[in-house]
Amino acid sequence: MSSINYISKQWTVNDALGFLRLLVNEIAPDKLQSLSLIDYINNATMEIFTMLDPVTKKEDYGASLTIKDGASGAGQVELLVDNDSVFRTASADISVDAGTNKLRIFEITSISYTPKAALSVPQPAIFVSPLEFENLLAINQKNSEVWWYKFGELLYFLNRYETITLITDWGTFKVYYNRFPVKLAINSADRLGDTLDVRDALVDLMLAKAKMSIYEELQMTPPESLSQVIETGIKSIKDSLNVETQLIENKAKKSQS
Amino acid sequence: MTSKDWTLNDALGYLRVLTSQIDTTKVRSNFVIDALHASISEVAQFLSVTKIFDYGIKTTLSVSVSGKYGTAVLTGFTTNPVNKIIKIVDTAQADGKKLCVEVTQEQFDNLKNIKQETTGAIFWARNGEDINFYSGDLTISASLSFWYVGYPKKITTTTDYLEMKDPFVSLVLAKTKLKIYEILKSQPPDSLNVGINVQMANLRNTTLQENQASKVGGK
Repeated sequence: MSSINYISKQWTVNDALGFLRLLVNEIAPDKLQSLSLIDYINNATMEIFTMLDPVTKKEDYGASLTIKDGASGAGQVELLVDNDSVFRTASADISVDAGTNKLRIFEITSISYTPKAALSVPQPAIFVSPLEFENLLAINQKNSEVWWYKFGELLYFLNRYETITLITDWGTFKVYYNRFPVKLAINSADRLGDTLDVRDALVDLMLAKAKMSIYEELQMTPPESLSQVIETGIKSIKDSLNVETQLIENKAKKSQS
Repeated sequence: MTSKDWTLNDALGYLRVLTSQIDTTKVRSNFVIDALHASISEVAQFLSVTKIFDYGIKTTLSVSVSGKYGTAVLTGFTTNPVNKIIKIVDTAQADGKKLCVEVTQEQFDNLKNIKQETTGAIFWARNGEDINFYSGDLTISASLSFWYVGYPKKITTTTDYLEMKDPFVSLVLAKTKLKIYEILKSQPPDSLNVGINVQMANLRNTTLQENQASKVGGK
């Protein structure tokens, strides 16, 4: 019985462990207990994640969180408005949500801001560097824009939306981000039913990389075919990344012309 | 920035499997911790402009002020040593004058000769662990807001999390394995070197692309 559904639709932790156990049983049955098979699965999943193109990352690992005053529960983070005379700046700690769940943020893709005023609609918050942010603070001009930057695990906001005159006037931020895969565990029988946190089309490559780690650990020479499976798999990811990069570049060129 | 899922104990446990395959008697825990920290530091060097901000720290910088000049030393930042200074802000100043301006030491030495340009600003120049301040007509505060990117902290408590974002922990562990093989003068498997090279190449490419995008105006 699956307890948590990650990305894979078909493969559970138990399936993957069973697959790797077959190999170990074949090449070094006496080492079965000493090898940390789940870590090979986790590391291979992470390695594949770092190779994915931005579109696939967003499709598979895209997530969002809400930042607001009075945050509660999973997926919400408290907004801390600076209690000075102007209430224009605020921050939010995005290491953990209000439900005390760890937020596994790899990269923020965009942030939208919805003012508290009635009938207000979301608008993009503008990403700036820490230095630009400081310069913007010095310009006392109302122009209905909101800026942000990230430093450590804190997000910093500057709000020059015209209707902000009180701390409670701040609205809501929606942060869109790519999370990174969850480290799977086998600390209880229940967790064996968790599905893998990688798309099914890449499970074959992930398992091949995990198998390679087993050969490495046992200091045994892997079969040539295993290296080929991995090379082909990585090449196919890189090819799709190149296509994606080309598409983005073409789009940029078109918009410039 | 710390890992969300990998504690030092997790990493040591993972690496212990390898050391038990090679030689349990020659690999001390302290050595593995040192090798792990070295690997984390190496990988952090290759992170993009935006990812390195994960190591961003905001704190207070104490300045010893004497007239128009001030000095601060960074040797006290031992837990998270200072890598790159991002900005120094004197919150006591009026708007438009809060952000201290970074200059080279040569420019700094000339500041007192160009009075017009030094009005209404505080300047600073870093030389290693020392920061020199100069102000034309403002009074430098003894306590400034200090924003910097730190070097990864060395983790020695087994329940603490590694100072590396999780997707790069796999690379850190592979590099640590290589160091263990080296210290034991044992031959690492070819696939380990190949795997590290592939991951490093991938990290370099991503970093280049992200740095390029951030110059253009993205994140």
